[in-house]
Amino acid sequence: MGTSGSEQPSSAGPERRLEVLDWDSEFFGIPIGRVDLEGASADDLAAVDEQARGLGLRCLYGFLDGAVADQAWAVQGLGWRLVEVGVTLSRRPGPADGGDATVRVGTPDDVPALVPTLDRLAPWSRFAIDPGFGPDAARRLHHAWVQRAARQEGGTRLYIAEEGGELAAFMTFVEDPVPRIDLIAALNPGSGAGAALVVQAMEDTIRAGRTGEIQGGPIAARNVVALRFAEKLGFFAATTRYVFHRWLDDAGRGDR
Amino acid sequence: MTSARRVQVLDWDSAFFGFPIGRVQLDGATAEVLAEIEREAAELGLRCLYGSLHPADTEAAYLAQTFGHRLIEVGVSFARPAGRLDPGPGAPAVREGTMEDVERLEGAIQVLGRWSRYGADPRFGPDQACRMYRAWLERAVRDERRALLVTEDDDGITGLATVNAGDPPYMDLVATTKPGTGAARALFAGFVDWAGGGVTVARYAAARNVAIFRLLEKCGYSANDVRYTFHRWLDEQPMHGGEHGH
Repeated sequence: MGTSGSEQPSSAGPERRLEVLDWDSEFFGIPIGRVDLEGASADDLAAVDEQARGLGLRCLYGFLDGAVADQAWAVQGLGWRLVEVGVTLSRRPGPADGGDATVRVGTPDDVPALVPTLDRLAPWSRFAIDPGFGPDAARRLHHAWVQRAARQEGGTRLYIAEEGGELAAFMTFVEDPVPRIDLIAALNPGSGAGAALVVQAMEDTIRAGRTGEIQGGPIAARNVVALRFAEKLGFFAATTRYVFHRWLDDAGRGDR
Repeated sequence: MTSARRVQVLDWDSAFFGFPIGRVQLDGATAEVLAEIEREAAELGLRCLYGSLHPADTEAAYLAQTFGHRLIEVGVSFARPAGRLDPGPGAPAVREGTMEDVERLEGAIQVLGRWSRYGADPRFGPDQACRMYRAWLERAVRDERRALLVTEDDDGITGLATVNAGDPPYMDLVATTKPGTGAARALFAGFVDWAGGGVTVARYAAARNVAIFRLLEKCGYSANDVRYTFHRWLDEQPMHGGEHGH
């Protein structure tokens, strides 16, 4: 899943490789930046380190196309820790078996009921596994993300699936630049409620006149259950992206 | 007090690459365990360690990197239920390959070498990766529990796969040199036939190889396992946050 609205990688040249992330910096309370690692040499990354230190940043997120395996190897030798391999899936909106759940758009009033499930998802986050952030920060981020979708900020929406009037599953959806199912969780996996949400997202995309593909994820490549769920609904792997964290102090060192 | 060794020396890999190589399971590894692994590998005189773990253990995956284990591959295994796979219209025929075929597979070996974790690690590099794949294909031909499957057209071999009569049977390598000819799907269909039409497994496709993901999904395979593979070079010091890249 994407966990903050400002994480999409750019194709900036070396001079624009580093970007300060205001939202993330404020949310986590530490100065954070984002770096496009695509094509970056060791010299480029040394310059990025220097620039980041000059800006007072403590942590950098780095993004790299997973196909560039030799570069993924090289950046790890320069202090970048690989924290996630994300697979984005896609398909053309169309027919799929959506089960019998009732789907509606969620509101901020729905969020408290989602918290226990969100807390179970948080350990899957790249923020949870990095000791510089940790599980509590990951939980806070999940809550904030769903609240944002419930308020329909930034082109996001929250959908709720109910079975027999009871909460069964929920989903966050991002409209632009490509319609994308971002986070999806079912209280009883296998009930069909999750599939009903995906079908609803596709129907809304068609109604909005969007004729291109709809995306899902990025899903952590280690999350086999989620990959299988997406495959069953006709989604195919489209891109793989490596995500790294680089701490400019010792916060990400763990308990070594 | 003695304890079981965590590190296993890999005789074949050591002889093949010409320096001492070992293997270690990193599942559940704590800082203390990782330090113990370092000591053991040093005592054994190893230069390189292959590490492997199931990424559900997210703490170990991160911690291992702080000890200098660099993640070199994310591999996804796929399984397919029993039942014949239609190779598709106009699909090329699949047959078992021979030693003579291996000599004709240099183009495919070059493709495989670039994609492999050995090719991505500059301390092995693409040449060593290709050398290893040649040996791999020869072993598939010689070993009676394995097979090399190939497709060909009038111009020559268009695809290859190595398969193993495990329980269930698995494919551990597939490559094509002529996209759009249906060779890859034909190889999977040929593999299912070779396995007697039962459950089959494809392991471990690199997560960065989106094309093979898509093909497997179209052939009715579903993801069923993920493994992270690391390389640890014992003469490298891991770099940390407060340190500079140069």
